[in-house]
Amino acid sequence: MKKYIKSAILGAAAVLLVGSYYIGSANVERTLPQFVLKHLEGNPKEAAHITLEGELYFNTRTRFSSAVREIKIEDERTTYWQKSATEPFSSSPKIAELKDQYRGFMRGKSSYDNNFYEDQTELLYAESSDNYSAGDEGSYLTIGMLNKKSGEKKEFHVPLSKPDRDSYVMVENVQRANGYIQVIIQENVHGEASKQSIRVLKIDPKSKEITDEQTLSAVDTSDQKSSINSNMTPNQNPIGSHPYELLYVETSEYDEKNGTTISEERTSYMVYNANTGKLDKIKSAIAKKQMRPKLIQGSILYAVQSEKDGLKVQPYDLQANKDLAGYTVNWDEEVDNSTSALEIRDGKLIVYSLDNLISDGAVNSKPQQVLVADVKTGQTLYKGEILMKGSLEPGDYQVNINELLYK
Amino acid sequence: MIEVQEIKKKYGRKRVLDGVSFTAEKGEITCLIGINGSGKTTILKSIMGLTPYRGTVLIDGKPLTHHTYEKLTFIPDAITMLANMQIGDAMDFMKDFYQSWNEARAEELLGFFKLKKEDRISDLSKGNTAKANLLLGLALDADYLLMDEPFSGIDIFSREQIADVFTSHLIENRGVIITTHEINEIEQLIDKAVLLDDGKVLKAFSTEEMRLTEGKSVVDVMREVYQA
Amino acid sequence: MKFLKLLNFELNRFSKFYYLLVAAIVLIQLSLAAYIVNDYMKMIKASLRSGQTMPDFLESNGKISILNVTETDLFMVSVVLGVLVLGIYLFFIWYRDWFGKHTFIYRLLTLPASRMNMYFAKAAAILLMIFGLLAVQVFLLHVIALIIETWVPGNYRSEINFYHLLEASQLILVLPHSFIGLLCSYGAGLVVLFTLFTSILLERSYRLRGVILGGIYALIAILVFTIPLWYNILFKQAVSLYPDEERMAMFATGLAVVIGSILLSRYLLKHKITV
Repeated sequence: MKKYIKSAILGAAAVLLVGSYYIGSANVERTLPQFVLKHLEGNPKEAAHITLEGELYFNTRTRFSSAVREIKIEDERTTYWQKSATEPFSSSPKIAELKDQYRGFMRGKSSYDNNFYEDQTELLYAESSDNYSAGDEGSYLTIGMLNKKSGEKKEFHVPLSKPDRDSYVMVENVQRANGYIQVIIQENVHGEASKQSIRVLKIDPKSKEITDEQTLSAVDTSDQKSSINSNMTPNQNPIGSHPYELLYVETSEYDEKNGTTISEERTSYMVYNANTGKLDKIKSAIAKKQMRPKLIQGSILYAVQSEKDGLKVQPYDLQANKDLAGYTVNWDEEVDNSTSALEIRDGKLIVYSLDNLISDGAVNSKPQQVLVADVKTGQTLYKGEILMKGSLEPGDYQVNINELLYK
Repeated sequence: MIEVQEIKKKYGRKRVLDGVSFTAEKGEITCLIGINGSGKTTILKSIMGLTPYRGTVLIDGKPLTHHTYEKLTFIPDAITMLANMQIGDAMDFMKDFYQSWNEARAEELLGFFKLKKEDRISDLSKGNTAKANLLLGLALDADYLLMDEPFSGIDIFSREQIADVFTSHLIENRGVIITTHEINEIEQLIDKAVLLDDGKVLKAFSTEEMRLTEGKSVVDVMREVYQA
Repeated sequence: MKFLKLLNFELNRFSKFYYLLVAAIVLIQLSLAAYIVNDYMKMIKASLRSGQTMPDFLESNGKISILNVTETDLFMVSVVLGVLVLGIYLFFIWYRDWFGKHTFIYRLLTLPASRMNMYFAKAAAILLMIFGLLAVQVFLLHVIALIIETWVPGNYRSEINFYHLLEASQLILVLPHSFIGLLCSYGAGLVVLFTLFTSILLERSYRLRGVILGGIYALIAILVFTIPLWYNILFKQAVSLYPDEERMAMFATGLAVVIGSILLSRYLLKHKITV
């Protein structure tokens, strides 16, 4: 047995030391910060519907990227996990659901809501070849169709005639309207004479051809001083049926040295109806006051503007083309997708902060807040703030929230 | 019995063995005789499964498997133990892996060859190396021993010691196949001679029968066959 | 049992070089840690003498952590040294038995045990030595952390947990953060090990032709193993895999290469190997 002692020591050392490293590594997650939602106003039971998701970074200042965890904060619990390197960069819960239900059809398809349309009978998909190498085929749209009842799948390419080779097309939305597949694309032409346009392509699924093309917005983006963009307002349910789109042009001037915005101007507010094909100017206070269109739910657009007494919300009926009763909610930050975000779920307006919960190892002096309000009246149903439980385990962390899920 | 049937072997384009057949019985010493390059070592390696070949080799009527190595041992012209090993380590190695290792016989051979367990293999003279090599093979209770040039390049005293082994109880009842071109050393000891040339068997005969019937020694037959 | 005896034998054979290798790695890493910590302390003392405040010092120099040691080129040299030596030994473990005056391969091939015992013993010896080095590295990381904790005042040390720090280290290449990551990395390493062993045996069976055959075999093995990663470049119409399917596919192709390598090696050792 003496002869085997060296080998036994080597084997034992390998198992014990390497094993203990991984046991330690698994157990250390308990030292990560824990957060709770502290009730400030309204019905505390609302907190049970709220889940905030974001990321934790360890600020290690190395050549390698910082170690990252995904973080999920629920009413009483904080969960951390690591995303696998092979998971897609961005995948909404709806896309994840579609992948589970229609695994075959969803195989190899993008993970963005904008590329899909779903109703009771079918699932549609549209993707621009500019997002991957088109090879000899030139630029085209890939259209996928799934009959949910029969399971029949179809896929075909629709060639895109691009006026300029040096342009990039991306799909903004897919809808079914009047028997056609309507694909809204944004095309950016680069170079000295840069342009941006948003167009609707009507595709006949039988002939597999573009039967009509309509420009909804076109801007010259070659101004060096300003950033000019045609914007489409996001829909609360991008994959579902939503015939109305709200477009506007935003011109921003930046102070490059300080990284601040000098001025912001919104113009050319237009509403597009996919069923009629009409493009109309909106008759709304939104345009006069240059409010920021945030979200469309059904046929109602919600535009916002930060004012001294709170966040002004202006709902606008896109179908009737008229303003509804506006209101102010108890929120004092800009809702611009960098400091705060807005969602609408189950007849409730939800606003939440996107700022860092922790940066450089210290809790943000101004706690992040969550507001749930009635979408029609703006009445506060719940207001809470995110607090750290217990004392902070010191560390160079950065924790930021980037999404709220309301169940 | 070891049966070698029509074995053929090529190294590249050169045919080394061209249909060699012979048998080696238990209790007999069979000597493969031939000049360098006649295929003697290749035959032993083929029997031991150390080189691929075409043809058939049977040990007691069965093809070679790893179990056969308990009763078939190869003593090549160089020692097959690590240079930094002591003889004692080599003996321990054999004891660890071979059920047929006979510790008592190994100790006997150690004394017979005047070797010590502490002797390092790399420090041994050529003669002592050959003796240590022989010790490791003979200490197994193997039915068959294959020896490749056991006398090659060693001093006369060591050669005599090794030759003594062939007349001792250590070889009794075992089948031995030996290759050599030092035929004078063991002519009196061998029972069968197989004369090889160019990968072929020129003549195979019983030495005693040859002596009794034709009055010829092995050397006489060699002269006849190789000069013809 | 014969496998364990052979494994023990292989480990003992290389033990002197292995101890030297471990000693070299320990020496490099601990000297580097002592140097870096000492240097940092000198900087603190100099800053205090010059009247610089601690916050200002930390703003310019940051807090010290184990990453100050692990992210240096010299540290990686010590890690690469281990990888390189064992990588070379992967070939040497076979060729040393063939070459030299005392051709030990005769002995190994004529042991009364399946030749695959020898094959697996060599593979297991390499693996055990790799994990041994990994164990040494884990031990050294704790020692380096202890050196920093002992010599550097608390305010100047990063408070991020040891394991979280190492996640951002270049060491994750050899010491993945998660156990699953370890299994995947070293699983792939196992595929490489058995592929190379088979290539070596092809060379030992067919000599000059065997070198070409060994090279071709290694190329085919790598291509088969990585099929899930490149198949849809070649076959554009082929079905796309989900990430979990890709992982399972790679496990399957890896297993196929390992089994194929072992079976081919078995055939070569039994029928084609030549001494």
